[in-house]
Amino acid sequence: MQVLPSIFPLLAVLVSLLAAVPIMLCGRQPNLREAWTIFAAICKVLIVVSMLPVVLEGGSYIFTLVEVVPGVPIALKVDAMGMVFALIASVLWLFTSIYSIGYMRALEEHSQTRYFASFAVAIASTIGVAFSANLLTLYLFYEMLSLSTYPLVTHEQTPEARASGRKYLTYILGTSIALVLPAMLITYTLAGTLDFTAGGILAGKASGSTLALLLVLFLFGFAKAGIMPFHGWLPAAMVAPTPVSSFLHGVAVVKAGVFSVLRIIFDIFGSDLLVQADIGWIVTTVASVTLLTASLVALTQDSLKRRLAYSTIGQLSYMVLGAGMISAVGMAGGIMHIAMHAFGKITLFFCAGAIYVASHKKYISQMDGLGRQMPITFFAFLIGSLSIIGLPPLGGFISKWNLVIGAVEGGQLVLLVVLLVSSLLNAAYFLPIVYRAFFAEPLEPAVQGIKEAPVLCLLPICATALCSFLLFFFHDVFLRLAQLAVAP
Amino acid sequence: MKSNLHMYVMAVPLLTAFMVNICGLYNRKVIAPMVLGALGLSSLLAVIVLNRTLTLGSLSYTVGAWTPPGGIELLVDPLSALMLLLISAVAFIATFAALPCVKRDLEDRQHIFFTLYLILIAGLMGLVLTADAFNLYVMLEITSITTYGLIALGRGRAPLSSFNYIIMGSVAASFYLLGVGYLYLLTGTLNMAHIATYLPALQGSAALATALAFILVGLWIKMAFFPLHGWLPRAYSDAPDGAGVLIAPLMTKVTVYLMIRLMFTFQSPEFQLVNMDIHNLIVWVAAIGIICASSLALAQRNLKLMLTYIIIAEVGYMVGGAWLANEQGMIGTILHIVNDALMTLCLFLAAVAIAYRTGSLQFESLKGLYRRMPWTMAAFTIGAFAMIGVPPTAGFFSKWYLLLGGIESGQWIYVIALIFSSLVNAILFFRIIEFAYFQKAEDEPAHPQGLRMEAPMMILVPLLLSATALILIGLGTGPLVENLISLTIPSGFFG
Amino acid sequence: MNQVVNPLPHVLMLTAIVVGVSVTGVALAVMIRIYRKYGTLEEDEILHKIENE
Repeated sequence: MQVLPSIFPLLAVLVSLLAAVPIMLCGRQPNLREAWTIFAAICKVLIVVSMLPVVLEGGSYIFTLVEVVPGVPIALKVDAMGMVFALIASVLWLFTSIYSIGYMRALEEHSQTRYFASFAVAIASTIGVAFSANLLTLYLFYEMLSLSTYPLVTHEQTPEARASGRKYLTYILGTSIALVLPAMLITYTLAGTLDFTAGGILAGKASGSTLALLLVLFLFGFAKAGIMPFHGWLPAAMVAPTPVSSFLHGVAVVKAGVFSVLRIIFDIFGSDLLVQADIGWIVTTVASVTLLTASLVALTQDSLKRRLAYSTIGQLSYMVLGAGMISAVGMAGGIMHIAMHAFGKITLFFCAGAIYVASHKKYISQMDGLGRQMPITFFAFLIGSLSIIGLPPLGGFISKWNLVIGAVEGGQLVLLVVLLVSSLLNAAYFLPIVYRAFFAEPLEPAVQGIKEAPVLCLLPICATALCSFLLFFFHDVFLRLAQLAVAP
Repeated sequence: MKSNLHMYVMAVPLLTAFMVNICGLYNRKVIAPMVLGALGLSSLLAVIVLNRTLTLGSLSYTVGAWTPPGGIELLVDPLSALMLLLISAVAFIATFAALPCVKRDLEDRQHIFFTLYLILIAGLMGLVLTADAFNLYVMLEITSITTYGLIALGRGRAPLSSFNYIIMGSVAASFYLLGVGYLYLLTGTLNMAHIATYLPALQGSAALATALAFILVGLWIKMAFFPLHGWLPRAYSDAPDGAGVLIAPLMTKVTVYLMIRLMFTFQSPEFQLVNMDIHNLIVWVAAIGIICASSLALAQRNLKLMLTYIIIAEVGYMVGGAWLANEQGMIGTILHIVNDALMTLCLFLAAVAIAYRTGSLQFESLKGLYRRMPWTMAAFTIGAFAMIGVPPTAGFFSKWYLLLGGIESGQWIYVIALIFSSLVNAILFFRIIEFAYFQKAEDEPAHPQGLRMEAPMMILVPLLLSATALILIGLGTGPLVENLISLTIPSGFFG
Repeated sequence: MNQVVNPLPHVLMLTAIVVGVSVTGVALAVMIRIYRKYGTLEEDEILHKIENE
C-alpha cells in the first residue's frame, strides 16, 4: 500500500481558507468577490480529484504540519473514507456557491461578504475534518467548523437567529468540550496515540466498561451527527439562509459529525473490537431509536425546512447504524449513504430555497398547486425524495440496499425491520408534498404560467438531481472507496 | 556558572524608573522613548539570557560579591529565564497601549505613573531572579507597594479598592515573612538552595510544617487563590487602563511561579514537601475554586470585572495543576503561566481598546462593536477562543496538559472543574459576542462610513500582535514543551 | 569571637520595619484620597455613597 508524503492535502484545506482573504478584500465588488469563491471551489475540486486515482489504488497521501503534543502532530491524511467525504463536500460546494449567488442576490441579502467569507472558512474546516490523520486534528477542524458556521446560522441577526445561534453553540460546542474532549484525553492516556489506524488503537488497552463509556462519550459528543437527544440544534439552525441549510446542514456540518463518529468506530475502536467487547449494540440501538423517532417527528412538521431537518437527522442515523453493523457490506452501505444522501438532500434543500425565492412560501400547507407554477423545481424535489426514500433508479437505493444486505448477513433482523419501517416513513413524509404541489387545488388564485427561481438557483438544482440519478448507475467510485475504508 | 547578564535585565527598568521620574518632570515627551527603550532592551537581554541558560545551565550572580548564605544571590535557570522573558515581553507590548491611556487619564502625572510602572516591572523580575527567601519578601513588597499606588491612580472607587488590596496584601506579606522567620530559625540560613539542604533532616517537624503553611498561605493570598481572592476583582478592574494591562497578565502568574519555584527548590527525593493527603486537598480546593470563580464570573455585567473572575479561575487551574504530582500537570501549569499571561494580555488590551472608544465596559455599551471596531473584536474573539480552549489557540494546549495530568493522577474533580470552566467561559464570551454582534448601538449613525471608530494604532497593533502570538504559540506548543518547559522541571522531581 | 552577635537578624528586622513603614505610608496616602473623595472614613458610609452614585 502506497503512502505518499504530499502537500496536496494541505492545499485542499488551504485553498478555500486563503480564499476568505480576497473575498473579504473585494467586498465592494460583488462580481469579483464571487469570482474568487467560484475559482477557489474549482481549484478545490481539482485538487481533491487529482488525489483520487492513488486512493482508489488503496494508497494514501500524508502531510504533517507540526507536532504539538508528543506523538500527536497536526497532520493530514487522505485515505478512502476521507476521500468519500471530501469528494462530495468539494463538488457540492461548487454547486452551492453558484446557488448561493443566485439566492443571495435574488433576496438582496445583507452582509454578503461576511457570508461568503465564513462559507469559505467552513468548507476549509470540512475538508480538514475529512483529511484529518488523527483525532486531535479532527477535533481542531471540527471546532473550527462549529465556530465558522455560527455567523452563517445567525446571518439574519434577528432575535430568532440569535436564539438559534445560542442553541446551535450550546449543543455543538457544549458537547464537544464536555464529552469529546475528555474522551479524547482518556483515549490518549490509554493508547498513547491518537492516530487513525485501521483496526483501531484501543484493542487490548482498556476494559469493556471503559470502552463502553468512551463509545457513549464519542457517540453523543459529536453532536453534529444529530444523534438524539443531541439533535435539537439542527431544526433550530434552519433559521439560516437556505444555501447554508442545504450545504452545511444537509452535507458538510452534519456529515462532519457522522464522519467523526465513523472514524472513531473504524479507526479508534476498530470494528472487531466492537464485536469483541460486545458494545456494537450501543451504536445500533441509539441509531435505530433516532432513526425512527426523527422520521415520526418529520411527519408532523409543516415548515418545509424543518421537515427536511428531521429527515436529515433520521438519515444520518442510517450511516451510524451501518457503522455499528457486524457485516462489512452494511458498513460500506453506511459510508456510501454519506454520498448518496448528500446529493439527494441538497437537492431537496435547494428546492426549498428556490420555492422561497420564487414565492416566499415556507410552509408545506401553503404549497398546494405550486408545482404547476414551478414544475422544474418540484420535479427535482421528487427525484430527491425518491433517492432519500431509496427507490431505484436513484442513488439512495444503492446505499440502502447495501445496508439491508448487511443487516441480513449479520443476522440482525431487528435492524432489517427498522430499515424497512423507516423507508416507509420517509415515503410518508415526502410524497404528500409532491402530491399536493402537483395535484391539489391552489389555495389562492394561482400565478399564471411558469414562475421559477433565478437561473443560477435552478442550474444547481438540476445538476444535483441529475447526479442523484446518475449515481445509481455510476456508483463504482464510491463503492470502491467504501469497501477500501471498511477492509483496507 | 557565574554571569551578571541577568542582573542587567532587572537593572535596566529599575534605573530607568528614576531617570523617568526626573526627566519626565521637565519634559514629558522623553517618557515614551525612555520606557519603551528600557523595556525593549530588557526583552532583548532576556532572550540572550534564556539562550544562555539553555546551553550553559543556570547562571548565578552574587550582588557585591558577598557569597551566600550571607550575601544576596541572583540565580537564573531555564524556568526563571522563561519568566524573565515573559515579563519583559509582556511589559514591552503592554506599554504601547499604556502610553496613550496614561496620556489621556493622567496627563500631568505621567512621570509618576511610569516610575511606579517600571519599578513594578523591576520588582517582578527581582522576584523571579532572587535565590534568597528574605529578598523575595522585599521584592514581593516592592511589587505590591507599586501596585497599590498604580491602582489608587484609577478613577471612581479605585482608592477604596486599592486600600482593600493594601490590607490583604499586607496580611499576605506578614504570613510569608513569618514563614521565612520560622525557616531561618530552623536552618540558620535564608538562601533557598541552602535551606533545602537542611530540610531532609527536619522531615516531620511541626515547626517546618508551620513555616511552609505560612509561606504557602501568604503566596496564595497574593495570587488570589480561591477563597483568598476577595481583593482581586475590584483592584484589577478599578486600576487605570494603563496599569491594568500590565498588572492583570503578570502579577498572579509570577506568584504562581514563586510557588512552583519553592516546590522545585525544597522538594527532593529525600524530602517530601507535603504528604499525598495535602496534595489531594489542595487540588480539591483548586477545583472548587475554579467552579466557584467561573460561576461568579457569570454574574458580572462588566467586561473587566468578568475578566478578573476568569483570572481567579485560571489561578485555580495552575495551583491545581502544580499539585497534581505528575509531570503532565506540571508541564501544563508552566505552559499555562505563559499562555494565560498572553491570553489575559490580549483580552485586557481589547478591553482597554473598547474602553478607550466607548468609555464604558458595561455589557450594554458593547453593542454593535463588530461593525464599529472590527479589528479589535477580531482579536478579542481570538483571545476569547483561547480562554474557552479552542484549538489551535494556545489556551487549548495548556488545558490539554492539565487535563492529562488530572486524568493520570485520577483527580476527576479537577478534570470536571476544568471542563466546567471551559463551558462557562464559552457562555461568558459568547454572551459578549452576541451583544457586540447582534445588538445595534442606539447612537449608531445611519451612514456606514461614520460607523468605524477603531482604537488608535498604539493599542491596536499590540492587541493584534498578542492575538497572533496566541495562535503561533499554540501551534508551537510541541517544540516549546520539548525544548524548554520539560527542561525546567528538575530531574527526578516526580521520582 | 563568640561574643559577636549575628548581625543578620538585625538587618532583617530593620528591613522588615522599613518595608512596614513604607506600606503604612502608602496606606495613609490612599486613606487621604479616600477621605477627600467621600468625606468620611466610615466603611458603611463610603459603601452607601458608592451605591447612591
